[in-house]
Amino acid sequence: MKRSLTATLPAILLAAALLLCLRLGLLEAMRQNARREELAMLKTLLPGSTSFTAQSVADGDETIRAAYRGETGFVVEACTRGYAGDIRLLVGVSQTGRTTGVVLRQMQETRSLGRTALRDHAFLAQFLNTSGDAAVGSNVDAITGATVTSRAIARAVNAAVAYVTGADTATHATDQGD
Amino acid sequence: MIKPNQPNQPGRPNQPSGRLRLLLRRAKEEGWLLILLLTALLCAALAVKLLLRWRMPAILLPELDAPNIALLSLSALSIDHYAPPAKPTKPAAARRRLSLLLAPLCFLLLPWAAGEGVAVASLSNQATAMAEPAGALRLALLGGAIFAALTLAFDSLQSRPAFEAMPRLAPAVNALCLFCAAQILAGLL
Repeated sequence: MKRSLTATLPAILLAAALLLCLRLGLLEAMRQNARREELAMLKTLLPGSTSFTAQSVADGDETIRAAYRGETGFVVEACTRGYAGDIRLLVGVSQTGRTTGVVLRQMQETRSLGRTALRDHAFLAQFLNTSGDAAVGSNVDAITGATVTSRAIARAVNAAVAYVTGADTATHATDQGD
Repeated sequence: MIKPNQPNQPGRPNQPSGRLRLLLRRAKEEGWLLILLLTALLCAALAVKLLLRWRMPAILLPELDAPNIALLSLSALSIDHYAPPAKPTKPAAARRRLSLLLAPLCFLLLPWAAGEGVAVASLSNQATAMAEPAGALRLALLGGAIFAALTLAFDSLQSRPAFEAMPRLAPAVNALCLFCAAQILAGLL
């Protein structure tokens, strides 16, 4: 056992050290690339906006994780529970409360079922121009075999719109009273 | 004893492939090949993920979740099985003990070093934040438990007499079936 340990433990430590060195070596470049990509993504989600400022998000709302204000609206990062874990997505919402873009950022759904939402453009395109009224079975067709995932995405998109318009998703009332 | 100036012949220990076979055989005999394979596969997967995250930060990369831990574990078990045959010096349970003990450490240190298990707030944070200790510990426990369960299941399946008729195909088929089962179980949980 002792001889086996002396053979394997250094290998594990060496592998960890290699990964740490690689990560620390790439840290600055990763940070710059990530910021550039993030800005490009936000611009795509919210056409017409060129600069974004991060907004503070209420601690009580677990669905809304981050929000970025642009000249023509907001990009909201929403998170809901899917079939096999949390689903995070970025939703562009114009100042009039219309969805301008949706991109999925993280999910652990089942391969070849829920995870097909990542590249199912036809499914995601259904959420464009919705105003907090996206509902599976009504104006959104679910992905075959992934109804739970489809509903979770619809819920997150509606929550993002509600965050911008101040709507109460339970009663469909708004802060503005319209 | 093999002399250094002896001409290279296929399979001889002084040839690189011969030395590798010898090392693999010794590792398998003493029961530490499996944990080495798991470490190598996990390290390679995390290194590729880091490089992809560096070059293409917007790309969605698979998380180190239960199905992917199962995939890595089953790959290590399959390669271990296909490695050169060896005469084990210890009983099967004793040979696996070291791997089962070290697997949680492997799943703790390597993902932590590579920045796995970071609570994602934005793309920038995802690239640079360090994993929280609780997240790293959870991953270690999850990884250790999945690896242990799959090792026991894989070894039990391999020891069935029915599989002796197809020694080459059985490990791959067993690994595939166990991966499907792991994915379904993860979905149910």
